[in-house]
Amino acid sequence: MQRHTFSPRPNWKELVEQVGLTFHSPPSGVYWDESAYYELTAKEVDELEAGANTLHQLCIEAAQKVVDNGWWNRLGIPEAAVSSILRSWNEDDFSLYGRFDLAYDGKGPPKLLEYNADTPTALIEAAVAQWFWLQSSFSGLDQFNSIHERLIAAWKQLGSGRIYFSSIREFAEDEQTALYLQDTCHQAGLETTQIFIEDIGWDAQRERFVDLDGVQIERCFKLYPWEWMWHEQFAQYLSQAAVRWIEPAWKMLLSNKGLLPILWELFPGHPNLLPCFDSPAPLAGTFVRKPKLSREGSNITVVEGGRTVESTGGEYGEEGFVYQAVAPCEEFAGNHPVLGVWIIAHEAAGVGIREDTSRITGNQSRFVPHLFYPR
Amino acid sequence: MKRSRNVVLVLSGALASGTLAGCNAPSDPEVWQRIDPNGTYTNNYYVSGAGYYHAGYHGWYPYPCNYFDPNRGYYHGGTWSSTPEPETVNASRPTVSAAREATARAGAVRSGLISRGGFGSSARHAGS
Repeated sequence: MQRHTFSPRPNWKELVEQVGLTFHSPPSGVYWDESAYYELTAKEVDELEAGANTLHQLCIEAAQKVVDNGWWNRLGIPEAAVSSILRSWNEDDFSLYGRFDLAYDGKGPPKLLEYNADTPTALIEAAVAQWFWLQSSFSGLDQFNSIHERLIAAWKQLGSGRIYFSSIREFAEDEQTALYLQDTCHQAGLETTQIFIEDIGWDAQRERFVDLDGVQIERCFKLYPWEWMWHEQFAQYLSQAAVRWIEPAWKMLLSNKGLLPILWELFPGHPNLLPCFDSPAPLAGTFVRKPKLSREGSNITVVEGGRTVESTGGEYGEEGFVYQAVAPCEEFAGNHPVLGVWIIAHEAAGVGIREDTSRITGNQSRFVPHLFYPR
Repeated sequence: MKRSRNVVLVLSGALASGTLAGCNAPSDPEVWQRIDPNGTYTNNYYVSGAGYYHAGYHGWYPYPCNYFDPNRGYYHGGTWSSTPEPETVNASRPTVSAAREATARAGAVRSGLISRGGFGSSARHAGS
């Protein structure tokens, strides 16, 4: 694994906007950064793919353990959510996607940092923008990226009918991500309708969620976290309404850093896992403290030798924290890359790399494209 | 080979470049209104339960004027067409019957006790 500097395409902003990446340059700087790229080897791509597939299976096994033992408190899951989780788990409700964040430098096996299994973003960048970057910059080379066609294939599993696509208003990244997924669903041959999450209605007479025209919503992709939904006004209807949500409620078991200590308990010493515990004691003063439920690197603290060396603010941590060993990874020209391996319909489908000079990957971290030389 | 062989965007590329016309956000999704047949309404004025006002057709319809569906084309005046409405009429008065019908539809939604805004109060960037 190597990092190379490279000349950005002169009209790169226009090019990435044309494929839906309109949020490439936030006020804080550049988010889409093609002034560099990562080169992987075919063997490293195999290792990432196999590691992600293995981790997904481990997570499913760990989730089953949570269900069997009723460890809802360990994950900070509200009691009201349990029946919906169990129903969706037992009926194996359709899951479209998720993204593992892995620590990896090519020197050792990829290590799980967390699983964004409910509302992962950085999807347009990974599936589309970096694919077009490869075509225009290194057209003969390859990329670990079959995300787009896997998404279309996954939607086809749902047959026919209408899927609603929902995100919050006025967040370009979320709107564009939901729109991109709507695009792939449309290409799979299903009917699609956009609705903002705030516009979803509850019809008390018919006891169903409805769209702006009062039509029943039966299947809805939501780019909105389950843990928020369960604390909002309409939470009271979630268990009784017959909506099939995408992602399903059972993904609350995976998209939760409370699962990390459980994974380590079940599979101690596994090469794709970092030691992780419910308390800092076993880690001898050097660890990363993470909220069980948080987003975009918020409320993370890096402690070395008992001393806090980096931390981020935020509003998370109410459900408690986990304590994870520090991943032993090399820097690349002063940057710390995190490899986001996409799982589509339960299989690894591609990678997007974000990097930061901080060891904590947050919403300001840059997305850098990648390639590899085919065998 | 571990890459997509062909990435094609049908909806999202079009929207990013601004070619999906007529998909305005609802003007006022929450408020139930009695529609005034003597009032003037702009094209795509939205009334919850009634739909979008098509100024050229003096009535309310379920989709915005010139809403584009790749399978069906452009929507205007209650039908799908291969070409968009030129939108030469920016505002107009509804017919009496259209106003009455739209008021009834909006009222039906209201009396059905449809409430909105029950999700989204935690609104921040929701991705991870």
